[in-house]
Amino acid sequence: MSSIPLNLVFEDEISEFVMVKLVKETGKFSIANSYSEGGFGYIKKNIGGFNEAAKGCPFFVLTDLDAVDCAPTLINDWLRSQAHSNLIFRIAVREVEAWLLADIEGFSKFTGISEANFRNNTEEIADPKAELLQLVKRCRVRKIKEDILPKNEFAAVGPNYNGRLGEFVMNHWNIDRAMQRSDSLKRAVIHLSTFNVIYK
Amino acid sequence: MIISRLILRNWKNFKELEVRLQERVILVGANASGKSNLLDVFRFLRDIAKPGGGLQKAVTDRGGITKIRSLAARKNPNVEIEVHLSEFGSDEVLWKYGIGIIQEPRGYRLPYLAYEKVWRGDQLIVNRPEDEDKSDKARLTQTYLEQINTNKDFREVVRFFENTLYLHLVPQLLKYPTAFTGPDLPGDPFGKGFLERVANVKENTRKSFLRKIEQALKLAVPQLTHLEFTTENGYPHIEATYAHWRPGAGKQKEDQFSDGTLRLIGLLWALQEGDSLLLLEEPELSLNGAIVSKLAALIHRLQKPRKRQVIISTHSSDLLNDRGISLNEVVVLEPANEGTKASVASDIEEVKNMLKGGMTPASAILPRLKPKDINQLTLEF
Repeated sequence: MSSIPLNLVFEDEISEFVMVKLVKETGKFSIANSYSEGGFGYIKKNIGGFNEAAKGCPFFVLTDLDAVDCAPTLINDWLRSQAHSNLIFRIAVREVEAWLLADIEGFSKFTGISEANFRNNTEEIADPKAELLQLVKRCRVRKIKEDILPKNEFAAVGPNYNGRLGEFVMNHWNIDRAMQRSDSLKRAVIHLSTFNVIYK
Repeated sequence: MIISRLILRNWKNFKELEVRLQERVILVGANASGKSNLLDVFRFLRDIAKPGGGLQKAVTDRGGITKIRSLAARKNPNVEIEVHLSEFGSDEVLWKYGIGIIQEPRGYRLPYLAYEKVWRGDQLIVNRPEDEDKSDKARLTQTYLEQINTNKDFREVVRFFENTLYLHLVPQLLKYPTAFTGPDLPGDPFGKGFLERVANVKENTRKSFLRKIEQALKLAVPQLTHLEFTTENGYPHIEATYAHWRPGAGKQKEDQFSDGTLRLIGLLWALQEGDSLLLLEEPELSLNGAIVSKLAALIHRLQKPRKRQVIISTHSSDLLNDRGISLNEVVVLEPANEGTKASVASDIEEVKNMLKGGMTPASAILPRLKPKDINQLTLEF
């Protein structure tokens, strides 16, 4: 079977790495184009365009739930018209960082932080990015710490936050393990693996 | 007149290309996709047609046929260029000009014409090689564009080509002229002689151009209050006055201008100067995003009364976010194994749908041009 070309739409670089990894593991897609301008505002503004273009080529959209109550609320709020069946719209609860932290064993090995410090109920972490930064403070690998942690109070994340976490996602992150602790990830994986493209 | 269609074969990284061009054309593509090479076609035609130019010089200045011919060229070794000319705002083709260029297989390896054709409308009025070309091969080392006594019937085309203006102003060349000596490049593409050009314009015209530029700069450059042309020991200068608490202070000459100010002056000047084809290389460089977002509309406003075609290359999403840009004005270059592919954005179904769904040209087009594995860049080092 030849692979299905798939367009990616995402908020940030970490999401992109995660999507590339998910798509690769599914094994039935090839990535066509990727769309992002940083932040959810871009996706919210352009979702109509992606939905329209999904007629010709499937789109995989990933966004963070953040502080919204539940995923269906967010989808209904963003997408005024009916979602095309080629629009794979997935939401990470609450942020994509939670999906990384859900692979406790992997993240612990990558950073050298003891597994005992991780929370098991990943989806209930209110601010996964802050949680991740808190955890990395315990990391003993200097280079990882310098990359991920903000230099000072005037920066939100470290100078190579995306690059370093991207390395984790591409080379160490185990989706099967992470799925066990994250329902939103599990749904995304199932959606991708059972997806069939319909051109109409 | 405008160039309404461009057809290329084996020109640099375009093995085959055919695109329709509008009055305003925006070229987009990844790095090294061939934006400048595409603009160079028009400069090449200018270099053939202009006084003191010619086919031999135009080819030699580009390092010979081997540097011009596409690496993807196979069986057909000809470098071929064809352009169709129409009136501004009309679809009717008034002229067609086409040449095929080939290199002598031995000897001096001079470039010579495989053919040269000119159509007035649909009527073929020049069709070389002619009988005389066959008896004297040396004739084929020159085009009819460069010979006054042979191009009488299509002088209009010659004038159109030779007046093409290209601008990619490099501020440092203006700021440190003595650091960049050596022979000047043909057509002054990088604006080294910009001030002389300003000096050579009639005084009234110059004043009127500069007054308009001053008005624009007052809006775009904080604190700038006045712009003036001066000469000092016979050398031309542009002088700006900035708001200062001490009257008389705050004057600066071009060597103290910011890169952005200089580029904006060059751009606004070029847009006002003449009515010929204008080629602008990445006009967004050094400019604040808010200014860049106005460029497409500004170009439209200034080209319209002059019925002038403007072709620009860009990487800028600020520029392409303008919803006034039609998809048929955007030419998308996508590199592939067998040379770069060029398509007009309105022919790309996905882009059209995205626009219909409310996206801007920038958000619908630019992501397609990203190198596929660019997210690996930070991982690789």
